[in-house]
Amino acid sequence: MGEYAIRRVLLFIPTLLVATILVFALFWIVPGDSALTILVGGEGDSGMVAPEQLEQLRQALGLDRPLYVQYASWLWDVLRGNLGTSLWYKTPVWDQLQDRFLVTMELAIMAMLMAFCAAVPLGVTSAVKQDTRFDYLSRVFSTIGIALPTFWLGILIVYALASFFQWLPPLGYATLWDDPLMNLQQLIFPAMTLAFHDLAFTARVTRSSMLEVLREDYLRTARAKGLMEILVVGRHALKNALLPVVTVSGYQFGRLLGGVIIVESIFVVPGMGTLLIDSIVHRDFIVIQAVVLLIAAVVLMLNLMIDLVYSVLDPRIRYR
Amino acid sequence: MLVERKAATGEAIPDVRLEWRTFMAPVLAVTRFSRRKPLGAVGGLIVLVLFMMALLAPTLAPYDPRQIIREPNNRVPVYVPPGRTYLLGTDHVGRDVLSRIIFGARISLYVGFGAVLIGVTGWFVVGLASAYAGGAVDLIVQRFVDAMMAVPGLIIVLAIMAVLGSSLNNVIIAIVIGMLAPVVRTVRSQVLSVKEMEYIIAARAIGAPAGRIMARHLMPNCLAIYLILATYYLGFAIIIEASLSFLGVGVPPDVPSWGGMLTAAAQGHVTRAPWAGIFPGLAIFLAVLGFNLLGDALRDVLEPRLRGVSSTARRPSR
Amino acid sequence: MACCGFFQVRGMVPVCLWLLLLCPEARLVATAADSTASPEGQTFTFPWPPAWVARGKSQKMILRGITGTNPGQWDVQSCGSLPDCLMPSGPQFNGLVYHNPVNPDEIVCDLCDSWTVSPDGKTYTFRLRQAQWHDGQPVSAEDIKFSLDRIVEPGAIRVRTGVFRTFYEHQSAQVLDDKTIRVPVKFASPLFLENLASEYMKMYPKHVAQNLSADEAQQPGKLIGSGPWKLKEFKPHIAIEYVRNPHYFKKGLPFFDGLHFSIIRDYNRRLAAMQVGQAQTTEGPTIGGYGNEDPVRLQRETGGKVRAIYIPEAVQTYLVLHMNKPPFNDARVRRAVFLAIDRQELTKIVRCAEPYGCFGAVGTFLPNKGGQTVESDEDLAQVPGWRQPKAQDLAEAKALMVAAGYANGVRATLNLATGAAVRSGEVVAEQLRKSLGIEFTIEAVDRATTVDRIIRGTHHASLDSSGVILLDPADYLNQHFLVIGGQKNPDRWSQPRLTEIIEAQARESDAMQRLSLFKEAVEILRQGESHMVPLSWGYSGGMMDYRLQNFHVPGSEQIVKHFEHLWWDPDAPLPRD
Repeated sequence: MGEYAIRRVLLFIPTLLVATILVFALFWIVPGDSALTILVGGEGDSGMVAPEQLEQLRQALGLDRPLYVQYASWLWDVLRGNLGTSLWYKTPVWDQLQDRFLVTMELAIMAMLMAFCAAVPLGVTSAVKQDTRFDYLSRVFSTIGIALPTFWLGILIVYALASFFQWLPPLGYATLWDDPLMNLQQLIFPAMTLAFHDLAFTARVTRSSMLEVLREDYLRTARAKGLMEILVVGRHALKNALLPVVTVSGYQFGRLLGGVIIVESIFVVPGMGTLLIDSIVHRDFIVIQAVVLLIAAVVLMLNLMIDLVYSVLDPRIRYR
Repeated sequence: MLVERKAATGEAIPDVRLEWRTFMAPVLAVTRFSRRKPLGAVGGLIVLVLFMMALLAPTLAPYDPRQIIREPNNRVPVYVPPGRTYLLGTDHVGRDVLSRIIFGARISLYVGFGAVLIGVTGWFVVGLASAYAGGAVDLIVQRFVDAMMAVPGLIIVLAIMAVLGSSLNNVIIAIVIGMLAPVVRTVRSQVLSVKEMEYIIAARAIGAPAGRIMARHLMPNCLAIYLILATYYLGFAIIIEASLSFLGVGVPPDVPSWGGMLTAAAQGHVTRAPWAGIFPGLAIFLAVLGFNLLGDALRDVLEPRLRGVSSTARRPSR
Repeated sequence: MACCGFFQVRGMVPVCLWLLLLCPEARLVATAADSTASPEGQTFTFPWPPAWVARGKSQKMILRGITGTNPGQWDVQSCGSLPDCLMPSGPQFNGLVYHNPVNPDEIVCDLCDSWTVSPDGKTYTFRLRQAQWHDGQPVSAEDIKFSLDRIVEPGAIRVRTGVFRTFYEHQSAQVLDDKTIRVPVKFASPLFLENLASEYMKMYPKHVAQNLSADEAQQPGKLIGSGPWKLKEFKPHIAIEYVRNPHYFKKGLPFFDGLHFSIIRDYNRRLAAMQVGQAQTTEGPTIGGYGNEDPVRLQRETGGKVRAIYIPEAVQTYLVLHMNKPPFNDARVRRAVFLAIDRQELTKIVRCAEPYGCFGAVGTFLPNKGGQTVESDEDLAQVPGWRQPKAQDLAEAKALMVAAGYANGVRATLNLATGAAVRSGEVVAEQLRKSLGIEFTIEAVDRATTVDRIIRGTHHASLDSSGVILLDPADYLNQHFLVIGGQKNPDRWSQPRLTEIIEAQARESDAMQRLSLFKEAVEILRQGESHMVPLSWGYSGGMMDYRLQNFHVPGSEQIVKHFEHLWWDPDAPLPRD
C-alpha cells in the first residue's frame, strides 16, 4: 500500500507537466496572433496597424521568443509562484483566477451532489426491481440524459425561463457567504443543466454495479439465513456497490468540468469557464495555460485521492 | 453452410433446404433478441431507419440540401414554418430543413463510423498492448492518458480543429484524438481484469505462449468490449460533432450536418424559428438514443459479466 | 442649425439626407474666402424640457446596461476596437470637438469654447472653456497640446487615430495662453475637423498621462479624464461601473448617478436580459451586434417597453478576393464575381426578416454619409453588378470565366468569422456555385483567426465587414484602398488614378469638386477589378427602455457614446406602435 501510494504521488508532477506541455504546444499552432488581437479587440478590425508596431508589441509581450524558451520561462515563473500577467488585461492572472475558481468549483460540486443524490436511489431501485416497468422507465430516462447535448438543454432552459416565466437569474454574482439566496438563484439552473447528464450516467453505473453485487455469493448466504431483503440490500450490498460508483463519479468530475465551460457561458456565471472562453477568443496564452494548469491539477489530485482511498477500501487491488 | 451433394454427374448441388434455414437463422435471432430486449429492438429500429435515410437520401429528400429554394415569384422562403410545402420548414437562407436532416444522416453516420473504426479500433489495440505488456510501457502510456484526461477534452478538440481547419475529415481526426484517453483507459482496465481471471493464469501456468493467450482467450472477451465501446462512441461522436459545429469549428456551415444546423439556429434565432433548432436537435438525440439502446441490449446479451463496463475505467490507474 | 432636425427611429425612415443637402454649412467649416465664426458655446436644446432638467437636478438613479465583451484596453487614443475599448473607456473623457449628441451630424465644441480658422485653412485656433480633470486640476492648453502630440507620437501604436498624422505634425501646436491653443494643419482639408471630432481623439491630462507607460495607460483607472463619468470599478466578466462626475463642466450633466454595465457574453442571454427588464439599455446603445430583427421583435413582444434603435447603413459586408494565387489573381475572374453576385437576393435573405421588415439594403459602393450623395439609388439600378434582372451581367461573367480558363468552374476556399457573416457566406457560395461554378468550401472560424487568415492571405477569398468610422465617403476609400497591406487590403491592390484621387480629395475644400472626385473613384471601382467586392449594407442596432429619453441616432456607430445627455422619465407614455 505504501509503495503504491508513494508511486502515485510521485507520478503526479510529471503528469501535470505533460498536460501543460500538451496545451502549450496545441495553442501555439493555433492560428491567430495574440498581439494583433490585443490591438483590435475581439470584434474589431485592424485598421491602420503597421507591421512594425505589431512586431514592437510582440517583443514587449515576449511573444517573439522561440517556443521552448517561452514555455521554460513560464514554467520557471510558475515554480516560483507567479502565474504571470494576462496579455489582455495586463493584470496578474492570479487575481482573476482565485474568484473564478471558487465559483466554478461551487457550481461543479453542486451539480455533482444533485446528480449523486438523485442517481443513487434511482439506480439502486432500478437494480432491485430489475426488468420491471420502473426499471425500463429509468433506463430510458438515463439514456435520454446521456443523449441530450448539454448546450441544447441550457439554451432551452434559458428560453423557457425568459419566455414563459419572465424570470431570469439575476445578473452580477453573489458569493455563497455574501448572499446565499441570490447565489442559489444564480447557480440552481446551471447546476441542474449540468447535473442532468451526470445523473443519467451515474444512475446507469449504480444500476449495473448494484446488479453485479446482488448476484454475489455472500448475499445469497445472507438471504438463506433469512435476512430481510431490505437489510440485505441496505447493509451488505449498498456498501460494496457504491464504491465503484463513487470512484466513477470522481473520474466523471473531470468530464463535468468540460461541461461547465459551456453552461457557464449560457447562464452567465463568472467562473473559470467564461474566463477560458474569453482567453481563447483573445488568444491570451498566459491565462489559458494558468486555467488549464489549475483544472488539470484539481482533476489529477482528485483522481489521486480516489485511487488512494479505493486502494484502502478495496484490499483486492493492494496486492497488485 | 451450404451442403454440397454430388449429383450423378459429379456436380455439386446446393442443398436448398439447409440454405433456407441459414437464411432464416439471422431473422430468428433478431426476433428472439427483440422479444428478450424490447428496448434494444427499438434502438435497432432507430439505427435501421438512420441507415435507410443515409442510403436513400437522394430519393427521400424533396429538395437539394445545399440549394437555396427560389420560388416562382422570385421569393426566397427564409424561415418558413413547417407546413405543406416544406414539411419541417426552411432554414435561415431558404433551404429545406427536412432535406437537410435526411442528408445530415449521411454526415452523422460517416463521422460516427469513421471515428469509431479509426478511434476505437486504434486505441483498443493500444490499450490492449499496454495492458498486456505491463511494466514501463504501461506506466508511460498511463501517465500520458492521465494527463490527457486531466485537460478538459473541449480544449484539446477545439485546438485541434483550429489547427487543422474545419472540414469533415478533420472533425473525425479531432474526435479520434479526443477519444484516446477514455478508450485506452477502459480497454486497459477491462483487459487487466480479464487477465487476472483464473483461466488465463492457468493457461500461462501451463506455458501457453503470449500470442496464443491473447488470440484465444483475450480476444473473444475483447470482442464484446469492442462492440459495446463501438456503439457507445457512435453516439458520442455524433454529439461531439454537434458540439464542435455549435462552437463554430465543425463541418463547413453549408454542408448539411445536424450539429451545423443547430449552430445557425442557436445564434439568435431560437425564439424566432424554433423548428430550425428543434428538429436537428431531435435527430441527434434520437440517433444517439438508438445507438445507446442497441449497445446496452447487445451488452446484456453478449456478456452479462460486463454489465459494469462504463465509459471510464472502474479500476484506479497504476 | 435650425434646418437640421433630429432622427426619429422606426427602422424604415431614410436618413435626413435632404436636410443636410440644404444645409451645406453642416459639414464644412472653412471656406477659402474668409474666416468663419465658430459655433456658439455649448447649449443643449431639448425638444421636451422637463422642469427638473431646467433646474439642473440629477436623477437619483443608476442606469443599468449590458455589454458583450470584456475590455482589455483603456487607452482610447491607441486602441482600435469599438466594443472592447472605446465603449468602456470613452465615457471618462472629452474630445476637443465632438459630434453634437442631440444633432449628431453637427460638429460642436466639447472641451473648447470656440474656434476660428485662418483664411488659408491651415491654422485652427481653439479657445478652451473652464473645465477640470477628475482630480480637480484645471484643463489647460498644455494638456491639449500634450494630447495632440501623444496621438501623433512617432512609433506609437494608434489604430484608429493614426490617420491624424496626415494632418498634424508632431509638436507643432502652439500654446498661446492658458486657454488658447493654435493648431497648424499640414494642408487645408475639410476632413480635419471630422477627424478631430472622432470619438477616439480624447484629451488626456498632461500631469497624469506623461508619467504612464504605454502598458500602464491601458489599465483601467490609470488615465483620468474630464468627462461625465468616472470609472468606479471594472470586474472582469461581471460588470463595469461608473459614477457621476459632480464637477462636470457642462452644468447639470450627466443626469444619472452612475452607470452599471453587466458583462454578458452570450447573445441570447443579453436579449433575454433586455426582455425581462434586467437592463435598460444595450451598450452604445447601438453596436453592430443587434442590427437584425431582434430589437423590433423584442419591442413587439414587450409591448413597446423595449425600444428598437437602428443606424441604417452602418456596416458593410464585403468579399476580399486574395490576389496572391489563382483564381483571383486574374482580374477577369474578379470582375466575374463582381458581376455575378445577386446583391438584391443576398440582401433579401440576409438582411430581411418577415414579418419585421428589412434591416439593411444593397446600398452604394461608398457610404452616402456627410451630406455627399456619390451614388443614388437610381444610379445603381443601371450599374452592372447591381442592376436587375441579372441576365446580362451573368452572361458577361460567364464569358469572363471562360476567357480566364475556368469554363468548368474552380474550387476555392472562403474564410469568414462565425456569427452573422456565415449567412452571407452561404448565400454567396451558393450563388457563385450556381452561376459560375465556383465551388467554395466555407471555413468559419473565430474572429482572431479570421483576421489572421485575411492578413496572411491563406485562403482564396474572405468575407468581412466593416463599419463607417467617419461621416464622409472618403472614409471607405481610406479604409479599403490605401496601399498599406493589412486586413483591408492584404495584397496591396492599387490603381494609379484611384490613389491620386484619394490624395486629392483630402486636400480639396470645394464640395462640388470633391463630389466629382468621388464619382470618378466610384467609376473606377465599378470595373470590379479591385480586391473588394461589396455585398450589402446592414444596420447597426440596439435597444433602450422607453423611458430613457433624448437619444438621437448618429450616422455611424462610432459616434455618441457617452450617455451624458440622456435622462429617465418614469412618466413617459408607452409609445403606441
